Amino acid sequence: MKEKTTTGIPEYSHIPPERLVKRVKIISKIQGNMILSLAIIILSIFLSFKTEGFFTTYNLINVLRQISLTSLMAIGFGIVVITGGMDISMGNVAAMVGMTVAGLFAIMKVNLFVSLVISLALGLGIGLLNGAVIAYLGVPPFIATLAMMFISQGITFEFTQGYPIYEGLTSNFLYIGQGYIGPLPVPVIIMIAMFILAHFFLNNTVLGQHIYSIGGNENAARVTGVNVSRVKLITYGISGFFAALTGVVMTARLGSAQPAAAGMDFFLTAATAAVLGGTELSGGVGNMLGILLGALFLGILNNGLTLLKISAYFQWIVTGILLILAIVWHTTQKSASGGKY
Amino acid sequence: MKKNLFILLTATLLFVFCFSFNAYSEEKKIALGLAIPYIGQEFWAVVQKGAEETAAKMPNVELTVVQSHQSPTKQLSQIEAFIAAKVNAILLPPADPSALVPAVEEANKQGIPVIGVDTAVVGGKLTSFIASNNITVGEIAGKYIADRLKGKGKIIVIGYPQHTATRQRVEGLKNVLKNFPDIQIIAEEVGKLPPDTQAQAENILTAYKQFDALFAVADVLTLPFWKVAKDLGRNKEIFFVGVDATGEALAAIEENSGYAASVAQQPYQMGALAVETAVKVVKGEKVESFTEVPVVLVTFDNLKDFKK
Repeated sequence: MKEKTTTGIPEYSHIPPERLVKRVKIISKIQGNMILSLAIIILSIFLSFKTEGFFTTYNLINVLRQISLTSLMAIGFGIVVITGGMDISMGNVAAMVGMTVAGLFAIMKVNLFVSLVISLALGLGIGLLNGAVIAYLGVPPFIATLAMMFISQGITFEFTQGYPIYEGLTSNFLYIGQGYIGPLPVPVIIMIAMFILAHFFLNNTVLGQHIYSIGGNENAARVTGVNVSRVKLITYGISGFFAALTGVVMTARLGSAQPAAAGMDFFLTAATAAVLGGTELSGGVGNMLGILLGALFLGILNNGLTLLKISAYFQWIVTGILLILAIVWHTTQKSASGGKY
Repeated sequence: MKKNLFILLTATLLFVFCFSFNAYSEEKKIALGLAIPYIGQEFWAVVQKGAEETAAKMPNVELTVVQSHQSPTKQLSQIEAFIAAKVNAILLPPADPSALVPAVEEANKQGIPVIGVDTAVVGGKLTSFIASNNITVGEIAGKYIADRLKGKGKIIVIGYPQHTATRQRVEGLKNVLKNFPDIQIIAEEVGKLPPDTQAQAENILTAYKQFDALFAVADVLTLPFWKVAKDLGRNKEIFFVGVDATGEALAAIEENSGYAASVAQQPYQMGALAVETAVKVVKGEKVESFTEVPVVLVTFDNLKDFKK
């Protein structure tokens, strides 16, 4: 405490600068999530008083299940966006894998476990292909995944000719989307498990740290010895995997594989959840708790507005306004804390 | 690696092209172009099947089918391509009744007959128009609901007001319900697209504790409501009515547990009739300016007859 007068930040002077940066990062992360948590609590209290159906076990469990699909996609999307990338093919890849798993299991009568493995591997493979085109051919992520969006949509419609698959989806498959473990629906458990997994992956592994550092400053990361191309490749593999997982759970949830399900609309909801949760499209910033809170907030809002008997058109308007507000608030926070945390 | 991938992509593209460019090449045939407005919907898949199978049975008829995904601009360019390729007739179920007017006018100018399918464009000249009357669809559903409720009850309506055909179904429903003052529409909601239909069904059934029937303008929209109600055990007090009689809806009706009825539009006949009419037009035979494809109410009682 000797240098009290010279540094101007006396209390922290004994902490090395890297750890100080990390501490400020954590504080602002908590702040962002706190505001969102507070918004969720206020909205929930309001809805509990204003509607009779909101604060019931049945409804709250419904909300959790409703956000599980959005969340699964938002996790993969979030990880890609943290590297400063973009994957807009996720919705259509989910639809394609949703059809694939139904086709394998219900029509070709492939064993359940094998069907699941092939379907998830398909998503992973498509993601890796996206990653290869982006990282090794240098195609911008938006363009590469836009192309993949068209390709996967085309394949889905070519093979299904627009027909849904619903016969032969037996209860052991439907369990993934409709079953319960204790009081919790299976999709909710999958969602929670994936959030925990992704959180530890990003914060406690070297690869996770590389993902943040590429998003923060790609050249700096390269100079410090990060294999940027390889990390990107893996990241898109991850988003492809999460798109596939979303597709599988979606088909099991709906009890029917719909070729037109989960298009751009659905993908954009997941992207909205990620952005509301503090993920920055410019890369380097984002965390799993924020994404979960973002999805939860959107889910409660959607549920609450219906319970308040407000029309779907109006729900879009509210979502749009909230998105702008969230980003504006986020930006002011950032400039208040002096740039990128 | 970069070079190899580039070569591979180019080769793939060439391969795809080789297989797609044989549509307009043959001469002396009756070339027909059908532009399907929505992909990924069973209804349109069946229209296409009806058209293709009918065309395949007729000698010298070559049918080219293109699809757009709810995109009037894309469909417009497809029609322009048909005109440029000088097809003998265009079959047009428009993605939008007003946005496709320029396409029809251009075809009129070039002397290519246009057969309207499902929905009529609001301008230009259609040589013939083949459709189910969507107002009739709504009226049949309304009559069934009113009869079953014995003229008294609360109902919820789920629609897609952004599309003319589905809007007309609600219009037809209301035409009938006007005569039953004790039947009350307690909510009219805008339907979402799957998978969000699931969440919407859960939320609406939570919001409205007591009602007697639900009508949605398409089976794909009615089905999730019925499934959620079944999970809640509310499928005894509420009955559900849809439109299109998709395979999934027919399976639901067969269960006889709340999915009461679906109004069938017979898309296969629609596609078949469109091709038959177009061929007649090209051969110079006389055709009706409007052919109505009849609609049928499918319930548990007549399910077996319908499936034949």
